[in-house]
Amino acid sequence: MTQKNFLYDVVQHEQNSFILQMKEDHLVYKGHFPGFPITPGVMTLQMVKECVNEIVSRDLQYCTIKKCRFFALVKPGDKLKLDILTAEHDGIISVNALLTNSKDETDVRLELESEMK
Amino acid sequence: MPTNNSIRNIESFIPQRPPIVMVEEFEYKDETSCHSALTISHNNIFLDERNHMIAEGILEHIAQTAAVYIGYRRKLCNENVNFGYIGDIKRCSIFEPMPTTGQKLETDVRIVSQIENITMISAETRVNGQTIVNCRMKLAN
Repeated sequence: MTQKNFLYDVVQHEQNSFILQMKEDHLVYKGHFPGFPITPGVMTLQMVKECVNEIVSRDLQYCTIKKCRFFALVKPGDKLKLDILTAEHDGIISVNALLTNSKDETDVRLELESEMK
Repeated sequence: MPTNNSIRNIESFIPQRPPIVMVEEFEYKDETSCHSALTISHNNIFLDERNHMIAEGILEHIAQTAAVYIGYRRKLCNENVNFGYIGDIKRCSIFEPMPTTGQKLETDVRIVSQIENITMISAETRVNGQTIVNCRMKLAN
Protein backbone atom coordinates (compact mmCIF):
# COMPACT_ATOMS: atom_id res chain seq x y z
CA MET A 1 0.00 0.00 0.00
CA THR A 2 1.39 3.40 -0.92
CA GLN A 3 0.95 5.95 1.80
CA LYS A 4 1.09 8.98 -0.39
CA ASN A 5 -2.13 10.99 -0.36
CA PHE A 6 -3.48 8.83 2.47
CA LEU A 7 -1.21 9.76 5.38
CA TYR A 8 -0.61 13.39 4.43
CA ASP A 9 -1.18 16.12 1.88
CA VAL A 10 1.61 18.10 0.25
CA VAL A 11 0.45 21.68 0.82
CA GLN A 12 3.48 23.30 -0.74
CA HIS A 13 6.63 22.11 -2.51
CA GLU A 14 9.46 24.39 -3.54
CA GLN A 15 12.76 22.77 -4.55
CA ASN A 16 13.99 20.90 -1.47
CA SER A 17 11.37 22.11 0.96
CA PHE A 18 7.88 20.77 1.62
CA ILE A 19 4.94 21.82 3.76
CA LEU A 20 2.99 18.71 4.73
CA GLN A 21 -0.39 18.39 6.37
CA MET A 22 -0.94 15.14 8.29
CA LYS A 23 -4.38 13.69 7.55
CA GLU A 24 -6.70 12.79 10.39
CA ASP A 25 -8.15 9.56 9.05
CA HIS A 26 -5.46 7.09 7.98
CA LEU A 27 -6.21 3.41 8.65
CA VAL A 28 -3.08 3.04 10.79
CA TYR A 29 -4.53 5.21 13.59
CA LYS A 30 -7.03 2.45 14.39
CA GLY A 31 -4.11 0.50 15.81
CA HIS A 32 -1.48 3.12 16.63
CA PHE A 33 -2.88 3.54 19.17
CA PRO A 34 -6.57 2.88 19.88
CA GLY A 35 -7.98 6.15 21.24
CA PHE A 36 -4.55 7.81 21.05
CA PRO A 37 -3.56 8.44 17.42
CA ILE A 38 0.18 8.92 16.84
CA THR A 39 1.91 8.67 13.46
CA PRO A 40 4.32 5.71 13.64
CA GLY A 41 7.93 6.91 13.49
CA VAL A 42 8.65 4.55 10.61
CA MET A 43 5.83 6.13 8.61
CA THR A 44 7.42 9.56 8.98
CA LEU A 45 10.55 7.91 7.53
CA GLN A 46 8.39 6.65 4.66
CA MET A 47 7.02 10.17 4.16
CA VAL A 48 10.57 11.57 3.95
CA LYS A 49 11.48 8.90 1.38
CA GLU A 50 8.44 9.76 -0.75
CA CYS A 51 9.38 13.46 -0.70
CA VAL A 52 12.98 12.62 -1.67
CA ASN A 53 11.60 10.61 -4.60
CA GLU A 54 9.51 13.61 -5.59
CA ILE A 55 12.67 15.76 -5.72
CA VAL A 56 14.85 13.30 -7.65
CA SER A 57 12.02 11.84 -9.77
CA ARG A 58 13.13 8.28 -8.96
CA ASP A 59 11.85 5.35 -6.95
CA LEU A 60 14.54 5.07 -4.27
CA GLN A 61 14.52 2.98 -1.11
CA TYR A 62 16.63 3.27 2.04
CA CYS A 63 19.84 1.24 2.02
CA THR A 64 21.50 2.81 5.07
CA ILE A 65 20.17 4.82 7.99
CA LYS A 66 23.23 6.25 9.67
CA LYS A 67 21.28 8.20 12.22
CA CYS A 68 17.62 8.98 12.64
CA ARG A 69 16.45 10.80 15.75
CA PHE A 70 12.81 11.23 16.66
CA PHE A 71 12.60 14.30 18.88
CA ALA A 72 8.86 14.74 19.26
CA LEU A 73 5.69 12.93 18.23
CA VAL A 74 3.92 13.52 14.93
CA LYS A 75 0.14 13.46 15.23
CA PRO A 76 -2.75 13.59 12.77
CA GLY A 77 -3.60 17.22 12.01
CA ASP A 78 0.02 18.40 12.39
CA LYS A 79 1.34 20.83 9.79
CA LEU A 80 5.01 20.18 9.19
CA LYS A 81 7.97 21.54 7.25
CA LEU A 82 10.40 19.10 5.66
CA ASP A 83 13.79 20.25 4.39
CA ILE A 84 15.86 17.78 2.39
CA LEU A 85 19.47 17.82 1.21
CA THR A 86 20.59 15.24 -1.34
CA ALA A 87 23.92 14.39 -2.95
CA GLU A 88 24.80 11.57 -5.33
CA HIS A 89 27.96 9.43 -5.30
CA ASP A 90 28.35 6.22 -7.32
CA GLY A 91 24.61 5.72 -7.68
CA ILE A 92 23.96 6.14 -3.96
CA ILE A 93 21.95 9.19 -2.91
CA SER A 94 22.89 10.52 0.50
CA VAL A 95 19.94 12.20 2.16
CA ASN A 96 19.81 14.56 5.10
CA ALA A 97 16.40 15.64 6.26
CA LEU A 98 14.89 17.78 8.97
CA LEU A 99 11.20 17.67 9.85
CA THR A 100 9.84 20.47 12.00
CA ASN A 101 6.60 22.20 12.92
CA SER A 102 5.72 24.40 9.93
CA LYS A 103 5.37 27.50 12.11
CA ASP A 104 8.12 26.84 14.64
CA GLU A 105 11.34 25.43 13.24
CA THR A 106 12.77 24.94 16.72
CA ASP A 107 10.04 22.30 17.24
CA VAL A 108 12.02 19.49 15.58
CA ARG A 109 10.25 16.17 15.03
CA LEU A 110 12.82 14.19 13.06
CA GLU A 111 16.43 14.47 11.98
CA LEU A 112 17.74 11.97 9.46
CA GLU A 113 21.08 11.04 7.93
CA SER A 114 20.68 8.24 5.42
CA GLU A 115 21.49 6.72 2.05
CA MET A 116 19.08 5.57 -0.62
CA LYS A 117 19.35 3.71 -3.89
CA MET B 1 7.73 -26.81 19.60
CA PRO B 2 6.70 -23.86 21.79
CA THR B 3 8.68 -23.55 24.99
CA ASN B 4 7.39 -21.96 28.18
CA ASN B 5 8.81 -18.65 27.05
CA SER B 6 7.12 -18.63 23.66
CA ILE B 7 4.06 -16.48 23.34
CA ARG B 8 1.39 -16.23 20.67
CA ASN B 9 -1.02 -13.79 22.32
CA ILE B 10 1.17 -10.87 21.23
CA GLU B 11 -1.53 -8.24 21.76
CA SER B 12 -1.47 -8.85 25.53
CA PHE B 13 2.05 -7.43 25.60
CA ILE B 14 1.94 -4.42 23.24
CA PRO B 15 -0.52 -1.53 22.79
CA GLN B 16 -0.44 -1.73 18.96
CA ARG B 17 -3.51 -3.19 17.26
CA PRO B 18 -4.27 -4.17 13.65
CA PRO B 19 -3.46 -3.05 11.04
CA ILE B 20 -0.05 -2.36 12.60
CA VAL B 21 0.69 -5.49 14.63
CA MET B 22 4.04 -6.58 13.16
CA VAL B 23 5.02 -9.50 15.43
CA GLU B 24 3.40 -12.92 15.21
CA GLU B 25 5.66 -15.18 17.27
CA PHE B 26 7.84 -14.19 20.18
CA GLU B 27 10.28 -16.04 22.38
CA TYR B 28 11.74 -14.53 25.54
CA LYS B 29 15.17 -16.14 25.70
CA ASP B 30 16.73 -14.46 28.72
CA GLU B 31 17.15 -11.06 30.36
CA THR B 32 19.05 -9.67 27.40
CA SER B 33 17.74 -11.46 24.34
CA CYS B 34 14.60 -12.40 22.49
CA HIS B 35 13.50 -13.72 19.14
CA SER B 36 10.48 -12.99 16.99
CA ALA B 37 8.93 -13.88 13.67
CA LEU B 38 6.37 -12.55 11.24
CA THR B 39 5.09 -14.17 8.07
CA ILE B 40 4.30 -11.37 5.63
CA SER B 41 0.61 -11.38 4.74
CA HIS B 42 -0.86 -9.92 1.55
CA ASN B 43 -2.66 -7.19 3.52
CA ASN B 44 0.40 -5.95 5.40
CA ILE B 45 0.44 -2.13 5.36
CA PHE B 46 4.17 -1.94 4.55
CA LEU B 47 4.13 -3.52 1.08
CA ASP B 48 5.23 -1.70 -2.05
CA GLU B 49 3.49 -1.91 -5.43
CA ARG B 50 5.31 -5.18 -6.22
CA ASN B 51 4.28 -6.72 -2.88
CA HIS B 52 7.74 -6.46 -1.36
CA MET B 53 8.06 -5.30 2.20
CA ILE B 54 9.73 -1.91 2.55
CA ALA B 55 12.52 -1.37 5.08
CA GLU B 56 10.26 0.86 7.18
CA GLY B 57 8.04 -2.18 7.83
CA ILE B 58 10.99 -4.28 8.99
CA LEU B 59 12.08 -1.46 11.32
CA GLU B 60 8.56 -1.42 12.79
CA HIS B 61 8.77 -5.21 13.23
CA ILE B 62 12.09 -4.79 15.08
CA ALA B 63 10.73 -1.99 17.30
CA GLN B 64 7.67 -4.08 18.15
CA THR B 65 9.85 -7.10 18.96
CA ALA B 66 11.54 -4.92 21.58
CA ALA B 67 8.10 -3.66 22.67
CA VAL B 68 6.91 -7.23 23.28
CA TYR B 69 10.08 -7.86 25.32
CA ILE B 70 9.41 -4.70 27.37
CA GLY B 71 5.74 -5.65 27.82
CA TYR B 72 6.69 -9.21 28.81
CA ARG B 73 9.10 -7.91 31.46
CA ARG B 74 6.51 -5.44 32.76
CA LYS B 75 3.91 -8.23 33.07
CA LEU B 76 6.41 -10.33 35.03
CA CYS B 77 6.51 -7.41 37.49
CA ASN B 78 2.69 -7.08 37.42
CA GLU B 79 2.94 -3.72 35.68
CA ASN B 80 0.70 -2.46 32.89
CA VAL B 81 1.73 -2.44 29.25
CA ASN B 82 2.15 1.17 28.09
CA PHE B 83 2.71 3.12 24.87
CA GLY B 84 6.21 3.06 23.45
CA TYR B 85 8.07 5.10 20.86
CA ILE B 86 11.22 4.87 18.80
CA GLY B 87 13.76 7.40 20.08
CA ASP B 88 16.39 6.80 17.45
CA ILE B 89 17.65 4.39 14.80
CA LYS B 90 21.38 4.11 14.16
CA ARG B 91 23.88 2.08 12.16
CA CYS B 92 21.11 0.55 10.11
CA SER B 93 21.96 -1.42 6.95
CA ILE B 94 19.36 -2.79 4.59
CA PHE B 95 20.25 -5.57 2.17
CA GLU B 96 18.25 -6.46 -0.91
CA PRO B 97 16.25 -8.33 -1.97
CA MET B 98 13.38 -7.28 0.26
CA PRO B 99 11.07 -10.14 1.24
CA THR B 100 7.65 -10.63 -0.26
CA THR B 101 4.29 -12.03 0.90
CA GLY B 102 4.46 -15.53 2.37
CA GLN B 103 8.07 -15.11 3.46
CA LYS B 104 8.99 -15.12 7.12
CA LEU B 105 10.95 -12.45 8.96
CA GLU B 106 13.09 -13.90 11.78
CA THR B 107 14.50 -11.38 14.21
CA ASP B 108 16.96 -11.53 17.07
CA VAL B 109 17.05 -8.61 19.45
CA ARG B 110 19.73 -8.10 22.05
CA ILE B 111 19.09 -5.66 24.88
CA VAL B 112 22.17 -3.45 25.09
CA SER B 113 20.95 -1.47 28.08
CA GLN B 114 17.78 -0.67 29.93
CA ILE B 115 17.68 2.33 32.22
CA GLU B 116 14.30 3.37 33.58
CA ASN B 117 12.06 3.82 30.52
CA ILE B 118 14.85 3.90 27.91
CA THR B 119 15.84 0.65 26.20
CA MET B 120 18.76 0.35 23.77
CA ILE B 121 18.76 -2.63 21.46
CA SER B 122 20.72 -4.15 18.62
CA ALA B 123 18.76 -6.21 16.14
CA GLU B 124 19.16 -8.44 13.12
CA THR B 125 16.38 -9.59 10.81
CA ARG B 126 16.84 -12.54 8.46
CA VAL B 127 14.78 -14.16 5.73
CA ASN B 128 15.72 -17.74 4.81
CA GLY B 129 18.90 -17.31 6.85
CA GLN B 130 19.99 -14.20 4.92
CA THR B 131 20.43 -10.97 6.86
CA ILE B 132 18.24 -8.24 5.41
CA VAL B 133 18.37 -5.59 8.16
CA ASN B 134 20.62 -4.90 11.08
CA CYS B 135 20.44 -1.83 13.28
CA ARG B 136 20.59 -0.24 16.68
CA MET B 137 17.53 1.37 18.17
CA LYS B 138 16.60 3.38 21.24
CA LEU B 139 13.07 2.97 22.54
CA ALA B 140 11.18 4.97 25.12
CA ASN B 141 8.11 3.65 26.88
